[in-house]
Amino acid sequence: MTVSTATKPPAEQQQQTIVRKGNPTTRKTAPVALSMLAPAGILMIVFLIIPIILTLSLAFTNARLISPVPARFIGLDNFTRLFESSTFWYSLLNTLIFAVVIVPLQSGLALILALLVNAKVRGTNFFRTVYFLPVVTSMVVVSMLFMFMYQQDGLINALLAKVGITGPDWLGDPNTALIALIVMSAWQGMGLHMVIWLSGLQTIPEELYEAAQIDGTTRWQQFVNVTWPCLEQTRTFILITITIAAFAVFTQVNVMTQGGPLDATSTVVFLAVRAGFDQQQTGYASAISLVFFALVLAVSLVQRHLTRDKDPQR
Amino acid sequence: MSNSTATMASQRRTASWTVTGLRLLLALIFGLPLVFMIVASFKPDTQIFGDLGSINAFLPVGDLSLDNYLGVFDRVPFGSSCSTRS
Repeated sequence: MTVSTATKPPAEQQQQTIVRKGNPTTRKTAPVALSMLAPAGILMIVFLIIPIILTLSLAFTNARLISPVPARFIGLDNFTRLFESSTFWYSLLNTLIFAVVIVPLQSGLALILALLVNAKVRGTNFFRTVYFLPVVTSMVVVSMLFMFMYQQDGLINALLAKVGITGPDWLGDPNTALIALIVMSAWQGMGLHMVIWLSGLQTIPEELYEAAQIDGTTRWQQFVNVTWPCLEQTRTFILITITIAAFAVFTQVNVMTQGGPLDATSTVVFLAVRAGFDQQQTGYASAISLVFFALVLAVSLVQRHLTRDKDPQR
Repeated sequence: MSNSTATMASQRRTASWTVTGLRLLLALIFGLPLVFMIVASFKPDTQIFGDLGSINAFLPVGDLSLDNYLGVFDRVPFGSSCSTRS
């Protein structure tokens, strides 16, 4: 112990002198460093920076995916067309409903799952695995499976018939299609957020619970006064990731409903992909993406503001 | 005193049974659709629909075969997607 403390200061001084001496060498090695940075840098510029700039500029043109006519600047025409389209407003509304419903549903149920499998009893690993299974199943596969189960004469209605309920044609009825999608998405994603909650739960020191037990608290009081406050960081992380994922909902819609029936399940990202690739209207799709970007940015900023406000209180 | 600890213990026991029941119920909700998918992959279409109303939907019973898996190779051109397409 004494030896290490004694040798430390000279070692630090030595390091500093090395760095000071090394400065000219660093200048010489700058090209090497840049060339090592190049692979990641080039990939980022080609696949991230350039597409973003292209989207920004294409949104104000009438560019098409494959066209002999060169793109022409048309000002805000794409945006006026977008804001006049009823499908866009339905998609925006559906996206917002999807996010508003799925964020509390999925995170809340995932927390319950995490609490259920946090206890150290036999079989916990089995239950954790089962709850996590849908996450490792591809969303396309899950969508196909649920498409089959949601049919008018599918599994879910067959089970409902057992208890005397005549189920609707889940995906064919505009009133139930979005709910069916939300339930399926929550079912698929819950396991992942259960694991994140679980990691948060396991960082809470056991002593806090012991102290609470000595004070004679009930299970519920322990949850409210110990578990919930200790999970603040986890909560913020889960809130932000679920919200961003919810706004980007696309796969389920594309596989299961194609935005139908009567635009009841169309979402903003689905609209952008359909406009860009099925209808080949690159300019219009860029405008939709830009609006979507603004939406997600606004929501993220609001969330950051809300989660940041609590920090000074500590 | 001993009486109250006894009731507390019994309460805790009921609580643990509720928790176990809840765990099992949730395991069914998360597991059964996947079990259904795997089991149905071995059944012909008519039997999948015939089994829907009963527990058989989740059990590998009846006319099981690998026909669906063989059908994949007929329907999807695996070979041609590996070799050059054009």
